[in-house]
Amino acid sequence: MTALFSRRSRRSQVSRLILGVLVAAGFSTLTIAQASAAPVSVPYLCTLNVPKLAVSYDLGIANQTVTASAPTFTTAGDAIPLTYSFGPIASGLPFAVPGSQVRAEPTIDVRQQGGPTLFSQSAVGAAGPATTIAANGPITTPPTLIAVPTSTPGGPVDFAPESTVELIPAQVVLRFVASSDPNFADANPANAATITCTRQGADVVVASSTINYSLSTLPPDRCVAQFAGTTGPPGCNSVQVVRVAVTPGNLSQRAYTSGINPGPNSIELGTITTPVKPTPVIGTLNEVVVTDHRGGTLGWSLTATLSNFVGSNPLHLMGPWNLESSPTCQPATPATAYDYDSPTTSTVPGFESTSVAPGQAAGPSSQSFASSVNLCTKDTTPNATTGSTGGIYNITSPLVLTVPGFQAADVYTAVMTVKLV
Amino acid sequence: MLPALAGAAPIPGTTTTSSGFFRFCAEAQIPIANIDTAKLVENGGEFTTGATLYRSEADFVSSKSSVVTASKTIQTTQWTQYTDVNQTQPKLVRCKFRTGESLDQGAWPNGEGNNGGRFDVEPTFGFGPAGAGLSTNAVDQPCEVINATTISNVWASLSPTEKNQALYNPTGTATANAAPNTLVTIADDMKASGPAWTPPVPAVILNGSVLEVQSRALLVPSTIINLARFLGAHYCTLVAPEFLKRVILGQAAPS
Repeated sequence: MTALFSRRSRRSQVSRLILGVLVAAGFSTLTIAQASAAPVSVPYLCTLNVPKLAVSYDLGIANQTVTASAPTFTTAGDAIPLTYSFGPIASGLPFAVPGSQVRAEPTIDVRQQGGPTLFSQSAVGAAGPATTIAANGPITTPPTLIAVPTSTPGGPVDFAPESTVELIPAQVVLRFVASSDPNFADANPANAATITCTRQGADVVVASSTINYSLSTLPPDRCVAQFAGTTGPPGCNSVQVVRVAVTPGNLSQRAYTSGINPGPNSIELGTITTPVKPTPVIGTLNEVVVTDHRGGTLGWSLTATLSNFVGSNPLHLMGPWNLESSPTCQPATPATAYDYDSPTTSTVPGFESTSVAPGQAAGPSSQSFASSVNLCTKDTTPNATTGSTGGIYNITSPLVLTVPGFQAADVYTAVMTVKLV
Repeated sequence: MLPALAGAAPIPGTTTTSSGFFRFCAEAQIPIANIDTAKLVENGGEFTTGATLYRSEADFVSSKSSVVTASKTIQTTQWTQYTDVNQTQPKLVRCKFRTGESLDQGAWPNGEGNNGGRFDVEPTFGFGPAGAGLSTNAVDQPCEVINATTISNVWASLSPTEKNQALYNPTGTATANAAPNTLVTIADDMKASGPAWTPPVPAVILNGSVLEVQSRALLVPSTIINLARFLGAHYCTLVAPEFLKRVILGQAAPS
């Protein structure tokens, strides 16, 4: 197959594509709007052949009238419907031929604009009505419709969109299909009289049609994938492996100032006069935020231990068992999901509490710091969506210090160690 | 002068029918070249006489008689002259025949030129040995025999009334308006070359009260020294039956 490709830019093709679609949408109008069909005078050598009489009649070279029309535009892949009329031609006979029916069998040459002839196309027209051809009178035939292919599978040519197909008369055979004169007609068309007219001289373009795109001729659904895919039609698949590395983060804790405490690392229990009986004073544990983004199924526990309360006089002491904690441990909400990297209570933007793994449990109430206090424990229950045990958790606790009766007056301090493991 | 009614060749009595128009020269070839009719296809033989007719006189002048060995056809050429511009009333028929003596001759000598273009012919004088006996006499008959046959055919086609109206009479018996033997053929006017044969020529000539039918002829046997494409040719100008009838009946002036 010879492929003829436009030399215009792709951009230009796209523009024409749009035009083509519009034209296709208006096809019914275009089929009516034929290109002008002005008669063209073309020199022909015509010979009347009468096989039954073993003779031929050289009618000489004379200009004949060719009238041809084709649509201005033709959809690529469709045949160009060329309407082709030849003659009338004078019989050159000194006698009448009654009862004659003659049909045209034209052949045209087909080329791309200005190029060489690519192929020829013939057609057999309908016979005209039975009539008497007068002595030296005109022989007429009905117009013939020639379907000129614009695409021939396997050859000889595909006309590309935007190309103009030019149609050139080549030869016309006028065949007697019936006649009252038995010398002219025969049941076998090969024995019937014919007038064979062959164009002389240079090519004469009598009609042309420009090829348009159409949906039916858009590239077929051929899809080829370059790697690890399948080949269509319909469609094709390729594969792109999406990979992400989620590296383990940290298990961390940060304390944030709560209540009247002066800072995240200090707890203020206030002032009390030496009581006459054990008397509680109340404070607040600085809120501890545990952030676990290790990405595994790992539990953790948060515990606290406390040293003795020691006054400025080293002999003034209170044991740690005098302090009790009643902790709470909750999964963080967007409002309490403090960003570990921020020293203030800035929340993590876009935090979703639904991503926090359950399984956290606060330690019992009124735990004495006589031993390690369990503030919160997180088991290995993962979040159903994330598959990990990660999350942000808020741990708070009121602290109750029971000051023994008659405790020596002094300023006491103790060190609480909060351990996350 | 030939006896007006002598001979009976199948020369068409009309040139205004398909058979008569197309076959006039093809049929006239048979008596001219003394063709053995038993060798013709219609009689069970292999040979055919055919014709290429030309509408243009100039094209006809360029044409030459020939043979087609493959189909065993003697190919004459023909041109018809008319009295009217519409070309419906034939007056004169010009024929280019093959000579009988050429029909068993072979190919042209090497290097001989042809006629050019669509007038080219098969480069052979005749059919070679295959044409032996096709002509029964190496001496062609004159064109006059064709005109004589035409006179016979036309006279035979007239009704009794028309014969009485006739101004010229080919018979030896007087008719109402014509003396006997006032329609005759005369010997061919032989020319030596194509240019001498081609110019216009009368179809009939009135000589006193006698209407003479004369053929301008050209005879070039294949045995003489000339260009091959010119050899084996026998040309005749022949009166058209329709014109002769009109002159006989006083419907057209002799010319």
